[in-house]
Amino acid sequence: MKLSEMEKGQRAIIKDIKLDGELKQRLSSLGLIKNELIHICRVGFMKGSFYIKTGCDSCIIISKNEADHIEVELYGKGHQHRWGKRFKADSCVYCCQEEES
Amino acid sequence: MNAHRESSLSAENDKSPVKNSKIKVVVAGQPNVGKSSLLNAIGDARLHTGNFSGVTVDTKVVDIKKDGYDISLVDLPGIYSLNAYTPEEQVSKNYLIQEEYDIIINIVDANTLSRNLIFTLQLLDMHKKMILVINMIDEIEAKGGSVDKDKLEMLLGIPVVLSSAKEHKGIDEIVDTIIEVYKHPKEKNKIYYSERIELRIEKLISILKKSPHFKDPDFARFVAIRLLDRDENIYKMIHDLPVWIEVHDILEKMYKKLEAEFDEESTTDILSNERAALSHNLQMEALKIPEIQESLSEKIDNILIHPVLGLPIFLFFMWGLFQLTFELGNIPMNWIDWFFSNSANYISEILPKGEFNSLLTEGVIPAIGAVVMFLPNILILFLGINLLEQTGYMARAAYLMDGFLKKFGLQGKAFVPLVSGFGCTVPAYMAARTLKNPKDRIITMLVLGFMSCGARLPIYVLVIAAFFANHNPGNVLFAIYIGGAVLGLIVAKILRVVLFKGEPEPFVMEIPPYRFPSMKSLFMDLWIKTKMFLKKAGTFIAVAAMIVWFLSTYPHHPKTEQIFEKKIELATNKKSKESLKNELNAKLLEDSYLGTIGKTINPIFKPLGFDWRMTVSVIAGLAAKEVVVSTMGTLYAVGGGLENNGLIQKMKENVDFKAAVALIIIIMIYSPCLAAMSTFYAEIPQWAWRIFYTVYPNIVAWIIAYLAYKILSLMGY
Repeated sequence: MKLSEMEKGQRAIIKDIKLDGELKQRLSSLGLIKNELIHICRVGFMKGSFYIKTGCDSCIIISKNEADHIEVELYGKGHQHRWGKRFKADSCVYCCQEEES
Repeated sequence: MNAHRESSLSAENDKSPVKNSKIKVVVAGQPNVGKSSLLNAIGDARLHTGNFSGVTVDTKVVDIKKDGYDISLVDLPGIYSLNAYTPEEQVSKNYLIQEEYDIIINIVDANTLSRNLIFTLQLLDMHKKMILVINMIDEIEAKGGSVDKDKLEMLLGIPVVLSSAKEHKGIDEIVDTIIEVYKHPKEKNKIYYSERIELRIEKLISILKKSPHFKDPDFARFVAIRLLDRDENIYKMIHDLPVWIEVHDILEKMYKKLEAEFDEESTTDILSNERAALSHNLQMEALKIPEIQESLSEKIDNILIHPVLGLPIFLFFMWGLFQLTFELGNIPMNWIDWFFSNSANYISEILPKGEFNSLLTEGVIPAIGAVVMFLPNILILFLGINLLEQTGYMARAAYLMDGFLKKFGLQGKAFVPLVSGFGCTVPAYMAARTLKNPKDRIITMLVLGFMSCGARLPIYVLVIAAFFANHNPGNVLFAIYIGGAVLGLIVAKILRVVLFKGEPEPFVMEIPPYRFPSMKSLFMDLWIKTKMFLKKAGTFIAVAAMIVWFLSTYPHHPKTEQIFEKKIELATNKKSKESLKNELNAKLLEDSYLGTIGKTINPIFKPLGFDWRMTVSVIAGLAAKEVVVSTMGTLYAVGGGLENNGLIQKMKENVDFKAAVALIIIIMIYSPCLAAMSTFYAEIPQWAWRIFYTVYPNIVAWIIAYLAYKILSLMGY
């Protein structure tokens, strides 16, 4: 799924960053790299921006345009799916099914 | 990838330590790690600090002396990595790579150690003498954590100092370590990448060594790594050397092979991943910190950057700031006004009548008084902006404003220079360097003038006190500032649609944790502002006042004076005498050089209801905005002097409401001061933009002021 589809409180692993080289480098120096665990701390008004905390405790804001180009895989126990159901499993079965479909 | 320390010395390091007692130290690190704060603590300097990335956008030097050594510390703008992204990062990168210096001090934030260490690893590739300073250690200790300094020293092969600029911890140790590192030869610290990368680095070194430019193996290794990192600056550096032909061929093959082997799109990504992995490991080895469920910053953010409430809360803060600026600032304003008016009257009485008396009491003192009486208002506004910067709220406000600003063709990051513009336009222009996209940068700089700087505040306060005293003055002041900002956004949108087509640059920004502002730093900043303001009042404004006084006093008209003196003698009562005196003063002022100049220019401003005195004041304001009020102070005082609250009263008597509104609009929009204009010219090299910037605000200002004047006339004002 895309990072821009994530909700507040969810965690995910970054699978791919499909952005141009320079911007990708900027994200990388801010701690946003492939296989990094991220946590969505906050989602802006109308999902216009995303407030992310990375594994190295870096807090970053990224706008929707850029978040659209970052592929993630939801991660972790108790993540909350976007229709509000909380899961106890390591990953959300619904999200995985969505990915496959 | 792994890091280890080698005790063997390189060829260069076999030399004895240099006996030169001058040490040049470069202070580098990622943005917002507290570099300037540390330098302030080390060198008792007064560099501007703030809790967001991009506070320092130019190099600054702090000199200290210790044990017979003259140490120059060069504060570089924050840089996330050697793959520089924004113009101010490029400044740091160029300095690090091209300039001569003895030692690098790499300052890192203990709170985001692993991310900061990614840059440390790039600096280590440079093979310079280096010290790692882990700042904000107090915050880690407050959370119950610790950093194992010895382990980091062992793993990285460089001295490590734990410090806290806020609590003045480790400051002396940093200076002592600089001297120690300088005195001793550099130990070879070598960061090893994984085997497949090291093979390519070695291959590149073997080719580079064929060139006399790369005889130093450490430098050759640095260049080889940067070439694999696809560093364009390094490409350019070796592009014209004969060795480039051979390097270029092999480099292309290496890129393809490595990308296939690591299954990555670019070798830059491969090196980034390697550094990220090592920095994570270094953090795991050295940093011990208990996991916190929800930090205080996150709890505060639940309210302050709430998706719906965040923006109204921000606007409420700004409204409160302008209320305080007017209401609180007005109390000492009256005392200062009283002090200067009485001083002028007293000096006028004790000094013999004549030119010097007139120069002091009708020229210099009223002008300085007219400016200094607004100092409290300016300081309150600066304090508010400083608090915004130091607490970490500025970056959050940029986040809140991003969506809104995008609608006007700007991006959230532009918010930082825009708000800085409320303080002073000069640093705001420089802060626009944090915007990478040249179009975004030019648009932001072109509309920055709409954000009224502190120097315009006295004019607003003066007009509000004269015409809006009974209409909640704080609200009027807030409306002026917001009105200017909204106008700026509309102009930005027009510029984006007409001249700068395309999307604004991507918005990616780091959010710092909330920090309690350092009282010392806050008051130091205010003290510096006060000193600068008073210095300006005592020098630039005093000289401007003298010029205005001279031009408004000369030439003398003895015939006119004689005629009026006879009339005054013949007048039967005191009231008639006073009236004749005022008539004489007005006549002499009108026939002065300044009166002649003012009346010549006045036709331009006459449609806005300005008399020649307002015209001259507005034109004089092009030098510095404070001069508008000081010129008014002189022009309305010449020959008459000002009573308590005199200038405000004179404004009421001589200026009509419509013209006062037009004056506010002109001041809000027209060209900023000379210092700001020259900063713009220095930042933007294209002549077309310079000319556009010089002309368009004045035309826009005149048109809007004229429309406002006409509308108010139609409404019967």
